[in-house]
Amino acid sequence: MKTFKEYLEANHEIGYIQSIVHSIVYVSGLPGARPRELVVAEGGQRGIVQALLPDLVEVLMLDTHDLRNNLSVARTTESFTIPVSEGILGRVVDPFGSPLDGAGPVIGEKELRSVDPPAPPISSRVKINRSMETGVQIVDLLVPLGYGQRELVIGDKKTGKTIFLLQTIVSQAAKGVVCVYVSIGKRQNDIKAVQQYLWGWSGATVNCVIVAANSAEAASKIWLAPFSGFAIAEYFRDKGRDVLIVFDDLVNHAKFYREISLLSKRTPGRSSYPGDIFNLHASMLERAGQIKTDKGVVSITALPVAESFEGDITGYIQTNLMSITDGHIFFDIERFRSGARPAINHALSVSRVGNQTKTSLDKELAQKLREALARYEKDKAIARFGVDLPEQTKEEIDLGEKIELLLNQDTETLIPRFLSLTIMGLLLGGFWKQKKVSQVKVDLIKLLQKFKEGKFSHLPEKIAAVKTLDELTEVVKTEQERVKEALYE
Amino acid sequence: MDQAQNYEMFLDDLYTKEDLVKLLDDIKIASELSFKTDSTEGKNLPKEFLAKLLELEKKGLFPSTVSQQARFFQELENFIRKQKTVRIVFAFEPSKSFLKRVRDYLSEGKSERIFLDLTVDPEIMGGFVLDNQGVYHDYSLVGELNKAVEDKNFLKSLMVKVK
Repeated sequence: MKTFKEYLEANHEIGYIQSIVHSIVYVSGLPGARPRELVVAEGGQRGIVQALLPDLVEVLMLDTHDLRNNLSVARTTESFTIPVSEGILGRVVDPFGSPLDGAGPVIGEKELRSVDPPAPPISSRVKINRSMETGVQIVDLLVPLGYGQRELVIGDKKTGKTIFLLQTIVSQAAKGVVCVYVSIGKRQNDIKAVQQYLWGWSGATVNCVIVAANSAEAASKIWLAPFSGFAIAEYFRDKGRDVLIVFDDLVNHAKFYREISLLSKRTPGRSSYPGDIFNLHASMLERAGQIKTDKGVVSITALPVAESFEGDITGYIQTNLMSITDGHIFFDIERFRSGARPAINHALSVSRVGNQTKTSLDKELAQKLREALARYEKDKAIARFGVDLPEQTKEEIDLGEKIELLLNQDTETLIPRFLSLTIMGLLLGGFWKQKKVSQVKVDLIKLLQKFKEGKFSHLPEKIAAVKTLDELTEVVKTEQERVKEALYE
Repeated sequence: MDQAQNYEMFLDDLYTKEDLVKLLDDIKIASELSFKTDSTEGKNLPKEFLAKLLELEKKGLFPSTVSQQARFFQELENFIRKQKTVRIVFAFEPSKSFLKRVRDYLSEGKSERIFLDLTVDPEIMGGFVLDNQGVYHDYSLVGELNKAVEDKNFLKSLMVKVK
């Protein structure tokens, strides 16, 4: 980046700070300034032009140190950029791309990427047709995702949203997908916990980057974080790699944007948010998607998070994000309290484009599971009255309980597709029909342990060839003896 | 007669932002005097300013009632605050005649008056640095020297001169 003097000599435009309101400054002069343009103050402080007023330019300062009245400001005729290189993988950086992890400078040949480029045009977009595994069974089976999809993750505080996202990141990073985790206005402790979880997995360190703006930073820096995250994601996408980006969370981002807007005296709208809050998030998330480039078909999958309060998903920002994205995964506080992990309510979750990436087997299985779970919920309500239940209802409740149990998953376990299909194949094939739920739980733990030990290495190939649910149960039946052997001997 | 033309006469012989600030101070004192009957503060007002007020009064253009006078001074103040200023940096303290020449040069071909917001900075060595409503031009000697040094042929030309 050039210095203030160099920009001044090149562009011949100068302004002077007339007033300072936190991170917003009002500058006189700068006759040719344009919205979103980067400006530089005499002390090197950077700012982004937010609005053009009749006599003044409203600038959102990204560096808020040593600002004073009458400080000179120069135009740059550039948009704000951050330096990105391959060396950023495995690092924790701030929204300016500077390292925060104390591991020295980010190495590699740096490319300056604009934080706010236009979204890919319609002509370059490709239908979402590749399935994206999260490693979390309930999502992969019932709310499937595809590469290039924008799926909202919504739920109350402490319902396991972040851990689900981290599992997804680890699962994808192991497949070579670049994962960008953007922490927006969270506590430093939370960022540390995310870093510790991710760096604990071998694939994550080489394919992940954390962009963090903690709650103590200036509002402008926190506001910038998701844009910087996207700039990093686009760098890797343009290199021909699939990217997964997580925004944790955008309700927080909206709150910081509201703070900035109220300071700049913009007319507040619903819940005091500015009128352009929808546009801000929609235009940003529009940068995700699957596109064709000269390097082939590549994608940016975006998983924004929205925190809700007491299970209320009808908040302003939450509903905005729901309408922007291609579906949502709902973390239900009631399910969390009843012990479900992850506490995803599949009935209230939607994946608008994920289903089209699935095979007929996946669709058939999902339908079967959904029906069984719906019947189970209905039967459970009847069973509450303590009436004597018919045999069929008892069977339905038993199956539903077992499905729920099998869909439970701890934070350290990732279940690949073939294993997930095998487990469900065993269940639907009657492997656990005569067993109690508690025994199934023990079996599942053992099964996962054996899988980690590499006991079922022949299964992926076998399962990959299966086309229908009947075929799956048949194939799994032939494996039952081996499974029994692995479990009980 | 347009009231703006009456106000224009107060700007004659003023070239810098400092002059405008001084004029604003005079207007403030004068407007306060309107409400006083036995004040001696009028002595602090410059003769030129009082002469202009007198001239307006002779022409019957200066209001007679206190409230109208207050409005007159308020409008005059607003008029002066709207005047455009150009920031200019010199390496030396310029004379009034020099300032007039610079001002006339800058306002050539323009319908409105321009006032100079003057700064003295010896570090620019000579020439001047101009900021006209945000448009920046460096015509200083330091700027010219910097440009010359950046020029690839500069060292070559120096060597030729040494030879």
